[in-house]
Amino acid sequence: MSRVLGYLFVLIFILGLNFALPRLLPGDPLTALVGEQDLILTPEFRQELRQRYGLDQPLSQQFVHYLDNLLHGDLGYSFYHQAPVLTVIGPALLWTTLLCGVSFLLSTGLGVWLGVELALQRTRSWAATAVGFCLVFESLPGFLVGMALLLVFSLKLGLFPFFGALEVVPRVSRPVAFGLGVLWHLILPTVTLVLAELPSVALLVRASMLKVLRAPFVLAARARGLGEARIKYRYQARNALLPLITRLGLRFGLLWAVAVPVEVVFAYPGAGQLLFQALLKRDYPLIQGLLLVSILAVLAGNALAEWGYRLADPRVRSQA
Amino acid sequence: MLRKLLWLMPFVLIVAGIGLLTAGGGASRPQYLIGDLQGDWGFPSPFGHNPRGPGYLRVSFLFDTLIWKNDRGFVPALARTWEYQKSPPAYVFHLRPGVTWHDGQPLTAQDVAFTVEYFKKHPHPWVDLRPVKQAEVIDPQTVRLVLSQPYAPFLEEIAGTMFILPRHIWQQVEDPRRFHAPQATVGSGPYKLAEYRREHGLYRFEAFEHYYQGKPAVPEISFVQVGNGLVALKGKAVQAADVPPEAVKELRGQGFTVLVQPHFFCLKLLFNHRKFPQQDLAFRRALAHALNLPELVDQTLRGHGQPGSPGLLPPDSPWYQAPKTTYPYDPAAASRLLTSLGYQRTPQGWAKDGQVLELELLSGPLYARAAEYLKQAFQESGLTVRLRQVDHSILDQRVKNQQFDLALSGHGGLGGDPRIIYDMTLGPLAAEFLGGYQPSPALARLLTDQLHTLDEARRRRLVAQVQEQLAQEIPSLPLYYPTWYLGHDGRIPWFFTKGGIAKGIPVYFNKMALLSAPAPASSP
Repeated sequence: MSRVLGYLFVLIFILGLNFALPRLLPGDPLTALVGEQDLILTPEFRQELRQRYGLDQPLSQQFVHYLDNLLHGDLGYSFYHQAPVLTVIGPALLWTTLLCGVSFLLSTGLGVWLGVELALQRTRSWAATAVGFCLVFESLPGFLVGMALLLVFSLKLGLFPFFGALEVVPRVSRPVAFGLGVLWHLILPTVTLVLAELPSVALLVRASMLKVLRAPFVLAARARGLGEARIKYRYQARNALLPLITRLGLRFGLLWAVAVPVEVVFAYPGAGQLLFQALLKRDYPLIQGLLLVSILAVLAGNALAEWGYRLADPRVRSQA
Repeated sequence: MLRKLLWLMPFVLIVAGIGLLTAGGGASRPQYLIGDLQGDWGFPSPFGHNPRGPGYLRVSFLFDTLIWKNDRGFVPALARTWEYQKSPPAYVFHLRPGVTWHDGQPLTAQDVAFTVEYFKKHPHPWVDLRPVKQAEVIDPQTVRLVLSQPYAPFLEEIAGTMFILPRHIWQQVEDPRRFHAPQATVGSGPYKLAEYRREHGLYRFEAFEHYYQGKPAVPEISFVQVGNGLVALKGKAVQAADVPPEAVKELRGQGFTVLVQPHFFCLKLLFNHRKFPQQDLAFRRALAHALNLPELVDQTLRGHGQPGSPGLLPPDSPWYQAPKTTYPYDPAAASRLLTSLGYQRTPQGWAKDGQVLELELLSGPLYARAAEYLKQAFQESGLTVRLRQVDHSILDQRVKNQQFDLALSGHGGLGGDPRIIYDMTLGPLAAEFLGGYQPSPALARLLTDQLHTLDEARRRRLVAQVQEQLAQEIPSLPLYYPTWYLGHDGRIPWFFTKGGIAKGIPVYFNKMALLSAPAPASSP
């Protein structure tokens, strides 16, 4: 109960911040909206814009209006897209969930496997090479990797599409073909994100594994005659995963921000790119809507991490 | 095994969910895709689009205006002919008979009169109807727009820009900006909206069979968001896109058609006229002499641009007149002018009363190279300049609030009616965008006179004098006009609209190019 109240308090505090932060950004949203066009707008139109977006009201009134709308499930009206925020962010969140969800699962699964193997086979030459590759890919910017993949696999080899998340004009109307089109568009952005995320997961797991390789409980497990595979994953890896679970909780909420450069390179219509554009355009309602989603994702990630911790570590369960 | 399947379940569910939720139909059709980096430009209705040019452009495929422009000038659109009446000043438009809306309803003079009243009630970013006093329906095919006084830019800025609305749809609409129903896209233009996907920046247009100028020869055309226009064009994923200058030669070598856009965008050096010494004409002239503009173009644009004219309008503008007053690169002249202001050259820089002159140059990410060049050039003339890089929204705000010494800022729209100079120099917000500059009475008079002069030859002389006056006063210093390129597969005979589309959108995608038969799809 107290934990739920804690989350509720954090949420209310963050809602206030969510309203204030976009407005603390220097820059006038109307100027950002119309750009140089500002010079040739009639005063009537400019005034109409201010009224329409509520920018002529005092901040306190805007805040009350924001909270009131929020209580009614209304996230506001986007300045730039001239549409309700919910309808703007809805499809973007769906695509982000797909892209980030798939790459999160893949980078975590493959990263854990690679990290375990890198620790266990640390004396092999391939392991040292793989660690080197991990360090290189970890430091490479996502857009650079994405651009290289685009040039090689789309332009040179013609294997994958150049932009978007689906066929803009579907060649056939069957949902299965549509789903395959979605998958086809998903591959390169996912590979880019996995290449960006996997190395850090693998290196973290490797470092944690190295600490538990010779732990007394491993010796005890071997003495009990347990198989190597079981010792590797049920005993060593499970203990080594604890720091990763904490990190995954944070990553879960922030992965869509990491995806921004990848979304830009592949014109993938995700929420990260939308937030980036909203920030440039000072689109307050859209920034608020997206930050709110982000906050909820981080809170959910934390809750999941706590739950995962309890699942992985019996000591936490017994303390609770 | 079961566990593995469980891991895959969320992924499969999401893919299937999207597939089922958003699957669209459609057989394979010939495609013409135009790639765009930005993507979404708002809902494609006359009031739903984003206020900037690309938003207007997309709506222009759906809605027609009374008149339009091709590469040589005005051409009839909904109005077959038009004439000017002197007293009271008015334009009479004779509409084409038999024009229908996309929903089959006839288009009449009532629709035009309704549109004028509607635009007056609901201000539009592109159409300023203040000069129009009233709209009178003479008969179902004739409408008269009475002006409050002679207004030279009328044809370009109102008749050639105002989308005509179907009265039977819009008369019930109280909040046009939130009217996003399918009927909001029913116009009289050559295309009907087939699909709009905001998140993909996709605008798919299908040819309107009963278009009054004949069914467009290109059956379908789309705008779509791309991550990299050049790569998508080279991979033939799109058929047209803006391309960077360094790719022009390679693209031409591969058989693509590369068009050069006229130079209707200008990067300017702004001065804060509320501060000394920027408010002093001699100082502004000194800075102008300290800059080598052809070298600036060579170094920062790799030669893909033209040096700025101190009269603001670029040589590509039909209204351009080379000013007699020029500021060639002359550091000695710059030094003389600074000395005339009481400054003395010291090892630390130019100083007055023991105070070394130090200025801050505000710049945005797009102008970073130009800012670096300016800093170096000014330093070579002994001026100490600090660079301050901010994002463009902050740059605009600081300029509007006069929180700057010097700033780099750019704008387009220089190809259309010379009213743009009026807006930029004397309009309601001009002082804000020009660092508090107040034009001299002579310049203000010239700017106002040209706006109300209908005789073109006389107006041309007035606009030439305006450019000369601007060159003398240098409220801001035009630095360069960059060259932009459009690459395409050569199928559609895109042309550059005289003065830019509508009131000056500097792009090639004029819907009139789609009415003639496209070239075979085999090239490049």
